Amino acid sequence: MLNRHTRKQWKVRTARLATIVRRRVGRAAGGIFKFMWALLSFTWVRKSNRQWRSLLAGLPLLLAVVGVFYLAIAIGFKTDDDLRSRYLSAAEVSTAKGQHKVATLMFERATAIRKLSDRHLFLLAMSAHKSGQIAKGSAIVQMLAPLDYPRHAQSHFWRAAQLTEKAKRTPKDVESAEKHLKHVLALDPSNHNAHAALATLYYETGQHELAVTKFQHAVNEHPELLLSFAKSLAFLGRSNEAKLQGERSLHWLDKKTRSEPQNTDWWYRAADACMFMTEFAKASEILERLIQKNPDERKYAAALATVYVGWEQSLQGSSMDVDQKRLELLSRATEVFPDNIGLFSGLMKLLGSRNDVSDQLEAFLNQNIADGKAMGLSHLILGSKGFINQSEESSAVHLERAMELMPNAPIVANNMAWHLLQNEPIQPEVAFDIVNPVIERLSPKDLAKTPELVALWDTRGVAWLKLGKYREAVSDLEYAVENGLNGTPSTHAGLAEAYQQLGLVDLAKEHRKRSE
Amino acid sequence: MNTTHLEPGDSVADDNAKERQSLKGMKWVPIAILVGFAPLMLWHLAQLSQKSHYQFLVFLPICAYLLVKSKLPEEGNEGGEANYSQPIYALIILVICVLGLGLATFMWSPWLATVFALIAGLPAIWALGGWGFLHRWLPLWILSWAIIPPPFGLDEDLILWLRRVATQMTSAVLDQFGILHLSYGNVIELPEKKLFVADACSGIHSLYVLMAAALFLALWNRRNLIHGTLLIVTTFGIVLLENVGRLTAVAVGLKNQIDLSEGTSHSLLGFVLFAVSLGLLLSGDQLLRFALGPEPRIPFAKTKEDQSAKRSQGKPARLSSGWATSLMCVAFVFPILGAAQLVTRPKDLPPVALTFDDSIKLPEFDLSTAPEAINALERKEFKTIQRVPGDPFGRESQQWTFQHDSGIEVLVSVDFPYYDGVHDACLCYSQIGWVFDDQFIQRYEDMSPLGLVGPGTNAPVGTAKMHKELEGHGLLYSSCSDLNGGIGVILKELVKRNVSERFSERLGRDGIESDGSAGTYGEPPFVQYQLLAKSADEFTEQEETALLQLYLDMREILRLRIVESFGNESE
Repeated sequence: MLNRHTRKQWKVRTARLATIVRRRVGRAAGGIFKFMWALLSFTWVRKSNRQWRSLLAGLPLLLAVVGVFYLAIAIGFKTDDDLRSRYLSAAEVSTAKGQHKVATLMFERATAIRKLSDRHLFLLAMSAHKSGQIAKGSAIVQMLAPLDYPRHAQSHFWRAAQLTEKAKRTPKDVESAEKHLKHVLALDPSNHNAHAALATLYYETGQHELAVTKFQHAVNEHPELLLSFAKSLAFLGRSNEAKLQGERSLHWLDKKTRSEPQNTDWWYRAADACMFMTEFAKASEILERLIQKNPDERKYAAALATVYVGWEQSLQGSSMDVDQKRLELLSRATEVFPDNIGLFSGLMKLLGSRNDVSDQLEAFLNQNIADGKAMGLSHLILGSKGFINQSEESSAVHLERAMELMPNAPIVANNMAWHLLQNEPIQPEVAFDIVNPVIERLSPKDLAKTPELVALWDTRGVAWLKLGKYREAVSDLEYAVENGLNGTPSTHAGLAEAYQQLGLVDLAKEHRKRSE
Repeated sequence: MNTTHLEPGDSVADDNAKERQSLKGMKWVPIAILVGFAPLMLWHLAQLSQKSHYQFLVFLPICAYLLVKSKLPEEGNEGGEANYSQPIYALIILVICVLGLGLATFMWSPWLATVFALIAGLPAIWALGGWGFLHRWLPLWILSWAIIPPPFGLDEDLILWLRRVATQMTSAVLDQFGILHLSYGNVIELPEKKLFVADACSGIHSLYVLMAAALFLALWNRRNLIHGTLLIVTTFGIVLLENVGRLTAVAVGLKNQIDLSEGTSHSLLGFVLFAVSLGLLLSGDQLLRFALGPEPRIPFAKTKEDQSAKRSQGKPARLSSGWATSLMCVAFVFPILGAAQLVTRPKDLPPVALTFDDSIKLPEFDLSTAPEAINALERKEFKTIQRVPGDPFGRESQQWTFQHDSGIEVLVSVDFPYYDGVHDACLCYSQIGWVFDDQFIQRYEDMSPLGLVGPGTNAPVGTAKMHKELEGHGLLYSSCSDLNGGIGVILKELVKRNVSERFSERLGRDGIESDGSAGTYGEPPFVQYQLLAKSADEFTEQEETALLQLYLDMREILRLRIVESFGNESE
């Protein structure tokens, strides 16, 4: 409890403090008032000898500063979203107008403001690609479509298309394309384009079972794939279904050729469908018409030769009339496209029949050489005839000429090498040097497409044998047996000799039995 | 401290005679200093004149003359007697400068010598008239520092920074004006045209000139430290404003089918904007004068009253003959070092005042100059590009494009001219957003094991591996040649990483072989040969080798044609 004296002292002190505060506040208020007055009445200018003309001269900079501030505030008020959407709209308008370079620019600016969605990034990539900035377009799509996981369906599909359309497609490209298409289906299971692309990929790589399952999802939306579907079914031995799909395909193509008669692609496909349905006459008729219209287009000639060869192979029996028909078809095929791979075996078979027709064929081939037509093939057949007729001299000359005329043809290399291995003096080194580079050039896809090429391994196996390299000989000859030459006497004879030399007598005996 | 203050009233006649004699002798001190620094300073000024943004320095003597003649304060001569108090400071500075000049002579560093020359200027002026005289000449001494470029390449860093800032600010302004564009690094890309923000456009030239003008203005008007500093800061803002204005004007012009990006119209725009900037600088000076008052008070500065009180304390100190002799002894070391420089100097003086000479042009190449195909790279197009003088990509370029099956895009370009030394192409690409993964120089011993052939392998190649978001991977090969065909490479990033190399470069020791520079080359102008390959995927070793072979072949073809057209031959 405070005593009276203390209370009095407290009161005095409080009053004194209040007075001080009052005075100070009053002074401060007075000061502020004076300052404001001085500011407003420009006393500070007068007192410090400031000159108005300095302010006047400083006005340009002052105005510039005000302008800069105004701009800065105006820029600050604009949101990134407004700006970005303006650029996106401009980009889409430019894309619609086909101004891809401008569109690329606008999309890039939009993404610099804020990251774009995958859809817009894809549009940016497409614009870049169409404006010739290939690396940029591809880099963006690679980012949108990683190989390891699904991200953006359109980008995955685009990448798959790029890989499958490559001129020199590697097995790795095929594998990557398959992965991308699977990513598309993971993101969008009902995407019929992805089903169609995957089906085509499987069909082209000979995976017919997988192709059939994908074709089933795609053919309703993509009837142009009906024929491939039918071919896959035929390959799997499901003939009835194949026939049914083939008919559907033919029917659909018939409609297309009627609605778009100028479109040669539909006619070409129709010819293919006709051939598949063994309507060779109709197929050849369509192709002859196409050749007439486009004489420089070699694919029609190649297709027509295939039709003739297929037609010849479809002929049954071995009467003179049939052989005559065969000769007629193969002669036509030789005239339109002598490089057809099936032509060689057909002509060789006919030549081996040793009747009037074979004589006519020989005459036809000699006539071709004299006329300078299909010379490579004619020399090859006549040279290879030596294998049937044991006419050594003739074989060597014709085969050498065939080698000169068709240096890249595997069958010519094979026959030349075989000739060198079978006729004295045996030259296994030269034969090996001819056949080995051809084998190294071939891919598994080539072998799948043309199984006859396995003969090259058989020939190289025999070359190894003659060179005394029995282990290598066994490897090649067994590969030949495994891939189509099972039961061929010369191949089994070669294996018997190789195993004999390697000391595997039982195995050698087994092969010898088969060679007899 | 053993100073020689002579008390008033001292009347020894011999002493006076000696002092007068020694003062006469002191006039030789500045002459000795000048002689000592002359060769290296001459070299420095010649080197400086090669940098286009320092060419305004030719006006420096005129400014100095004007300052001396009209505006230097008269104080210091009051009473007609010089104040030589504290001669120890002058002696210490002189000794330091002797050591500095010795180091500069030993290392042959014109830059270092000039720095010490300016420092030695203080005792030199002092020797002529004491502290008062020094005070009088101080503004001129400050102005002289304009001839010293900032250390450690800061001027180049400033160039890069200004380019970037000018581009960013212009981009914001263009957005505000509704002009759609793309900006990256120092490029404003409009649908109509790509605008590279060159040195001239980025304002580095204006900055240096206007800064010097602001300094001169402040000294001329005898503004004090606060005013002067604020004026220089304001000048920086004015320069930015000028350059944003220039780029915006060019962009707006292009939008309205008026091309102000090159030719006479571009130069005219530059002159107009420079005049406006100069006007704004003068305006800024007046605005500051109004805001700060005619004589703003400097914090902690002595008032005039303080100064006059100090002056009235005693008469000026005179210089004893002992000090004068010591100073002269030290000063006479300078001419000896000057003579040493004449012995150790390089054979030729650097070329003086290289300017953009429009008459020097590269021969006109065409599509057929490049091979049709090489290592699966197929030649596609040829085009020529004209740019403004000083553009980082050169005033003119002739370019060939190639395409690889795998989607690699290749651009081979010959760019001309470069006056500021061997050009580093990487700088240009880093400014447009490329990020470098690796940079190195390939020499004969690196290229030979790769199976590369041809005479091109004898000269080095600058190599940079880089990437950019949305662009993929990039591979850059570059080098420069002089007009005699001597090839050189500089990768500044590598030079920067190596502190000693960077220091050597600043000290003016060019042409040394190191991680960041290689080759044998002569005088500017230089021709740049570059190959840029872009790919979505990383480059394989085979692709890199194939591209390097293309680069070497192209460089050799182009280099020989250039040498032939200028009638020179590299030794």
